[in-house]
Amino acid sequence: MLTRTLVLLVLLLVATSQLHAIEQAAIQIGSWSSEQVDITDLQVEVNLQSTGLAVTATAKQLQLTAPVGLLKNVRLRCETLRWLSGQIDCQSGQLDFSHALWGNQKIAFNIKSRAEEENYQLTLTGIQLDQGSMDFQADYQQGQWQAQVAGENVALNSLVKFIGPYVNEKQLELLSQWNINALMDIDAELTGNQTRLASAKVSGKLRDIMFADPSGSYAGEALAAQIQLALQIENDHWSWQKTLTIDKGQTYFEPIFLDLAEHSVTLSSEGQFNNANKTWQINDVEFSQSTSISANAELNGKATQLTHLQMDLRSTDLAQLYKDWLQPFIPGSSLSHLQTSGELTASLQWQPEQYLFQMNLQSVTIVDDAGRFAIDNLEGKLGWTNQESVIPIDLRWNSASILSLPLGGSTLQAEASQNQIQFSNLSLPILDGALSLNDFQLSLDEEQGRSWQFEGLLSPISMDQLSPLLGWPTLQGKLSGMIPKVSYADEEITVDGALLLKLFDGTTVIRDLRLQQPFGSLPQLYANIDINRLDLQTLTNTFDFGNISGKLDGRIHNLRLSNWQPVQFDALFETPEEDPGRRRISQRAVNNLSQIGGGPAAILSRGFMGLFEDFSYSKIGLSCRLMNSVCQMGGIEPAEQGYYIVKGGGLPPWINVIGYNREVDWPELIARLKAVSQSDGPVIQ
Amino acid sequence: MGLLKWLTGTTAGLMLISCVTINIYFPAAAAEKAADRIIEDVWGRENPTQPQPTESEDSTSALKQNMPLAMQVLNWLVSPAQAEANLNINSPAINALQAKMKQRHEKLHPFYQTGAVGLTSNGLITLRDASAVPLKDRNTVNTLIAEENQDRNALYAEIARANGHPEWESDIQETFARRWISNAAKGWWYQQGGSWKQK
Repeated sequence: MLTRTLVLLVLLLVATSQLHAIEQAAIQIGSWSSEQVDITDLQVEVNLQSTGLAVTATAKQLQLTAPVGLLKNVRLRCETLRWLSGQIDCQSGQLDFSHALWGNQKIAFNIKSRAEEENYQLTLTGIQLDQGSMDFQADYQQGQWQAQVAGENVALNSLVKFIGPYVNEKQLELLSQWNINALMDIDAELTGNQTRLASAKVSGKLRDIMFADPSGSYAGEALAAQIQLALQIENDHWSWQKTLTIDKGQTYFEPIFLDLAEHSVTLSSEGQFNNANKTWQINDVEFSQSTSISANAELNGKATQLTHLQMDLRSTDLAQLYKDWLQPFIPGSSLSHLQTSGELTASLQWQPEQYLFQMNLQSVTIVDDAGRFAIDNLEGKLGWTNQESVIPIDLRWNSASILSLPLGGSTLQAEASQNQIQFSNLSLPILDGALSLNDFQLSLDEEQGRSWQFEGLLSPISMDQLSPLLGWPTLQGKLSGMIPKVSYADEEITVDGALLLKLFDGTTVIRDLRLQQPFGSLPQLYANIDINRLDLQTLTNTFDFGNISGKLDGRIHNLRLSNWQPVQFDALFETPEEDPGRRRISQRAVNNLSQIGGGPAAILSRGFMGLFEDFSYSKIGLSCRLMNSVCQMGGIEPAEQGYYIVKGGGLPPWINVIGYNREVDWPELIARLKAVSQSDGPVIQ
Repeated sequence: MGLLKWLTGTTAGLMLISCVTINIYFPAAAAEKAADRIIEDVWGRENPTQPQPTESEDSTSALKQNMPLAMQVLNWLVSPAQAEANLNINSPAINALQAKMKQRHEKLHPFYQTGAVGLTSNGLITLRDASAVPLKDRNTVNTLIAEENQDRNALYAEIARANGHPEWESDIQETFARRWISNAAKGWWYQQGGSWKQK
């Protein structure tokens, strides 16, 4: 529009100068009006020179049709104006004006017009865009045109302001909502045919880029980037090559945060677009983040739909990959605080509703910050697909741990197919025993989430190794079990069947074992435990409790551990009716028992009873119903105002121990038990 | 006639009492006290508990004033159960959660202050204004929020379970929701009726 106006002015001036064939002429035209233009105070000065005409036209106001509008203090000068048949040249031209939006402009220009040959050339230099400037050059020849635009220090805001009237309002609104700005040095070369663009080459340096969408999901601060773009258009076929490097600032694309000053990012791609059927293809997408991550991808699509994706990824720095690209997607999960190291390569094939993912691991180490699990030197390949094709999984590792339980190195061969992983056997060494997982099956269901199950066989593990790891006193015995089914669903592990614990020459059977949210905020463990024929002699020797001989049965039902601490159970321990064995209790054990019951310590060391070292009893028993941090205590049978813990019987001397406290604070009880196991015991004189 | 009046009055009274009894079943006042104790510990002294008459107390006292004498007597017979009902919040599991939340609060505190994080009406927290968080801290905040909400959910469930009434979980969560907001410091944001408000 501006160009057309300029040509119009020049034509106007040339016409005037030809009428007056004198060396110098100054014409005061006053006002000029037409449909498209409205000029006030027009003054034209013409100088005849050997090289041609020098023309200067000034106008106070020049009103053009929208969207240009009003120009003020317009001054147009051609140092050399030539007008030959159908040929107009204006060399070393200068156009000055001021405009409400564009400010004060002093634009140097050259115009060359050959109407017969359909050849027009226009050069504009020094277009001011606030702090920046732009040069423009265009060449039109019989329908073919080429243009060059060069900008320096152009602020995106200024550009938007300048071209604002030509951009539709919705786009402007979007721009202002996104709060985008950047400073650009840009070079563009465009070619075309009539109204169609044929090719474009753009290279630019952008700095101080910032953007932020209204919701805060996407943002960039102080980014610096280099961009190279080449575009060719032939009929309906578009093709382009692009390289983008960002090496300063920070950006957040929910949930990915990248510090580009720390690790620069390069993205290059080549693409094609067919405008007739709206299909597109982007090949050779190369993405790299410093040296730690590189990806190569090919994408196909139609209109705004992605129809096929093939991506290969390589990372030589799993720690960086995890921190930048994995961790942000899983906040607050059991995998959200890991220390990782190692290398991996991965590939992904995706089509709507079909995907296949494969990964190769090298020297991968994963350690949970909270110490809940770890795996060391994991190597091999794994994968996942929802298709029928089978992906082999082959993994090996040096050692691992789960919930403070050390697991030895092992190998795993499995198959992934149709959202499932299956294997027939995995043996996990645990201390001196092993857990054997048979017929394992893991499935991922969109509605039901993740679930897995297996048949288990626990070959004997020595309790003297296991018990300290569980924070228990060292116990002698073995833990083993046949587990028909272990299953996981809805964040709950259920163990069908029983775990067998051979302790103190008796058996302890753990049934109905359930574990909720094992890696959650508050893991919950439920179980019913039955204890048969423990040998009290062995038990009391282990805990340095004094001496009790005889057998002991017991049960801990409705047990609930919250965060691995007992918070609820219904427990009863008592001498079995059948085969109770020889029953003696030492003075020290009596003292300790009474101390646990809240009685005074060393009650027997004084007086007559202190003469005997041990006593015989007929029955011993204690129950505790834990709820709300309070233990409801009971014994074998009620006594006056209390309950019997030990009832004497058999050959004298015998002794009764009676408990009176029905309600004992659980932490207090634990403290007493600890005190007993740590005390040296009463001194018998 | 007088007998009939007495009878209808008593029947209505009994019906009303049965309603009251259901309300009493969940120890609302004890739950509020328990919530305040935990909140005070987690948030620290900076947010002193504001002794506000709670809704349940209000309704109880209002009820008492309008109650016929016979009902007041009956209510008195029922009320010991209410007085006895207590909520124990002193278990190792609850203490562990509380300690974790207290530790996390130091990191969350600045984000409550700037309004980046707000209190939801269901006793959890959420990202209210992402743009108030520096880019590099956004994922940290997301993680803090996710973990805090997990702990809060676990806390509500554990208090209900520890007191032998897993079915109280939603009542406890509701109580906490009110108390978190009530205890919040000036300038903090909270959700009410689907919109954000500032204390």
